[in-house]
Amino acid sequence: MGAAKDMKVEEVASTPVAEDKYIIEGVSLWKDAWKKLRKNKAAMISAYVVVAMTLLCVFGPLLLSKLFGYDFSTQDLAYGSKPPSLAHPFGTDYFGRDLLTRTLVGGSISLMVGFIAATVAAIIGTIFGAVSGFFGGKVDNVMMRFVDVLYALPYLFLVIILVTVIEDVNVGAIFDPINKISEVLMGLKIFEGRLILLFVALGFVGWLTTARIVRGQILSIKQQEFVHAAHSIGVSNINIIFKHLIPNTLGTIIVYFTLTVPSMIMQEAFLSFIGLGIQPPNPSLGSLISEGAKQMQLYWWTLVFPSTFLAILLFCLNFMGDGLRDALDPKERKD
Amino acid sequence: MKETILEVKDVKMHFAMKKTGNPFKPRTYLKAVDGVSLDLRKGETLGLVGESGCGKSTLGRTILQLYHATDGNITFEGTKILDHGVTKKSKKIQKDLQMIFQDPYSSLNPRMTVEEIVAEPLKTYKVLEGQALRRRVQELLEIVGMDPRYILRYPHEFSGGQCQRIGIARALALNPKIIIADEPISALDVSIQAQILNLMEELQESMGLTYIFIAHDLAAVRHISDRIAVMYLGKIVELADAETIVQKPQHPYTQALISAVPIPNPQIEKARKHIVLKGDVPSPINPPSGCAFHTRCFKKEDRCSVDTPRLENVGQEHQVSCFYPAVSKATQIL
Repeated sequence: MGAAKDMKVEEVASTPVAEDKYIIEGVSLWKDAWKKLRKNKAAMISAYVVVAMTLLCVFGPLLLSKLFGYDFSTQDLAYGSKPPSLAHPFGTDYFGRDLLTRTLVGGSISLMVGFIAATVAAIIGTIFGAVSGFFGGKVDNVMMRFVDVLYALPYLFLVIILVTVIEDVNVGAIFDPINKISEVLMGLKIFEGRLILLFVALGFVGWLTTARIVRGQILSIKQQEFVHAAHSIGVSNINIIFKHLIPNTLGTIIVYFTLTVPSMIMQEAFLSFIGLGIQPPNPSLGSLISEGAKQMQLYWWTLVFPSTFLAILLFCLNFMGDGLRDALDPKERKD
Repeated sequence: MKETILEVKDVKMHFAMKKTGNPFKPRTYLKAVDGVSLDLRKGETLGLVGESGCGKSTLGRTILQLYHATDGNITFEGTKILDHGVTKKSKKIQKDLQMIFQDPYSSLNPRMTVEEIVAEPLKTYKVLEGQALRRRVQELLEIVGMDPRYILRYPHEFSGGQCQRIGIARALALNPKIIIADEPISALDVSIQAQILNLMEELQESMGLTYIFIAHDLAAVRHISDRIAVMYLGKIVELADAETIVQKPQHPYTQALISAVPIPNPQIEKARKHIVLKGDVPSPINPPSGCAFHTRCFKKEDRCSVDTPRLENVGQEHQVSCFYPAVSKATQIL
C-alpha cells in the first residue's frame, strides 16, 4: 500500500497545484478510534450481540406470530403457566401468553426507552454544558446552580406525581408513522401516554450528568490555542462551540451515551417493576421480571428468561461503552 | 522614516482576581500589561522580549482584541480600534490582524483536516467558495512550503515544524497587514526554528507584512527584528533598534538579559562577566512602588523606589525607562 502511494508522490512532485486525484487522505482521530475499537474483541462481540438482540426484538414478534399465530397479548387460559416447550421456548405466563414474544416486545420497548432517553439526555446535556462552559463566569454559575437544583429533586417523586396527575397524554400525530410500524411488527402502539411520561421523567434526570461532564471538558478545551486562534480569526461564538469545542468533546459524549443507555434501561425496568412504568398488557423487561419474581417458586421460567435477557443486554452495552472509552480516550494515544 | 501602521498608546490590561472571602478587602487586579505605548511601522519586525510572565503575550493578545483591554488607545491605519478602553470591533480590521501561536499542535484543531483549518478564515469572511477555496488553500500551503496534496490530512500526522507552517498558512489566508507571532519558534527544534524564521522573513518581503515577534530567545529576536522592545512587569523598559539593544543597552534589566545570552566561544564566555539578578520577578498583582525593577536592580538609588521613571529618549530612536541610563561594559562583547 505504502509503495503504491510513494510512486504517486514522485509523479506529481513537479506539478505546482496538485490535482484532486493525488490528494493524500489523512487518518482522522475517528478512523483511528474505529481501528482501535475493532481490535477490542470483547467490545466487538458485545456490539454484535447488541445488534443481534435488537434485530431479534424488532422482527422476532412478527416472525413468531406468523409461525404460531399468537402475539404478545394472545391469551390461552387452558395453557397457562406451562414450562418451556417447542411451541413456547420460554414457556407461558399465568394467562397462557407466550413468554418469548413478551420478552422480545418488552426488550424492544426497553431498548427504545434506553436509546431515546439517552439521546435526548445527551443532546440537551451537551448543548447546556457547552454553553455554560463556553461563556463561563456568571452565566456558568447560574446555569450550573440550576443543574444542582434539579439534581436535588428526587426524581422518583417527580415520576409518581407525573404519573398520577397526568392520566393520559395525547401524543399527537408526530409518532403515528412509528406507531403504525410497531403495530405491524409487534401488534401494539409503541408510543402511548405512559411511555411519554417515562421519557420525560428519565430525560429530566438523565441530562444533568452529561451537562456537568461536557461543561468540564469545554472549560479545559476552550483554553487551548486553537480556540484562541478561532477567536482571533473572528469565528462566531456559535461556530466555535459547534465546530471546535463540541467535536473535541464528542468522544466523551459518545462514551457517556453508551453508558447512559444501560442505566436508562435499568431505570425503566425499575419504574416498571414498582408499577409506574409500562402498563399491562404491554410488557417491558422490568414488568416481566416483576411478575416473574412474584411466582418464581412455582414457575421459575417467568423470572429466569426475562432477567437473563436483560442481564445480557446490559452486560454487552456496558462492555461496548468500555471499549469505546478505551478507543476514544486521547490519553491512551501513544503511537 | 516609514509610516506608522499601528499605534499603541498607554494600553492597560488588568485581570480581576478571584474575590477573597473578606468583603471589606478591595478586589485585587493582576496588572499583566500596565501602560504600554509603542508604534509599529509598516513592514518592520518589532521584537518583544522579556521573561515569562512579563506580559508580552498578553500585550499581543490585547492588540488583537482577544482580551478586552482595561484602558488605552490603539490606532490601526488611522482608525481607532481601541478608544479609552472601549474596543471597536470591525470585521475589516480583524482581517488585517492575524496571529501565529506558540504551540504548533494545540493551535490546530485535532478534529479538522488541514483544508478545514486553513479555509476557516476564508469561510468566516465568505471570501471564496467551492473549488476556488480549495485552490486557494493549496496555494497557501505552497506559499508556506508544504505539499499541497496534504489538505485532507490531520494535524497529528505532521511534525511540529509542519504544523507551525499550517498555522502560518492560516494566518496568511486573509492577506493580513500585521501578524502577531506569539513565540512561534520556542516549541520547535533548533534546526526547525531557523526554517520557520527564514520562512517568516521571506513572507515579510514578498507580502509586505509587519510583524510583532514575541519571544524570549534573544538571539532569534535579534536575527529577525528591526527594533526590539524589552518588557518587564507589564511595562516597556527599553525600546531601540535591534543592534543598539544588543550592543549598547542602557537599561540595567536589558543589560542583565543580554549578559545572560551565552556566547558560543568558550574562551570569551569564560572571560565574560555575567550580571546575575537577585531574587524573582515581583508579583504583577502587587508590583513594587516607583520603578518596578528597583527590587532587583544593581544600580538602585533612593529615588528609584519613590518615583516612576518614564520611557524617554536617550538617543536616536532609543528609549529607556530608567533614571540612570548608561552603557555598561558587561554586555559589549556580544
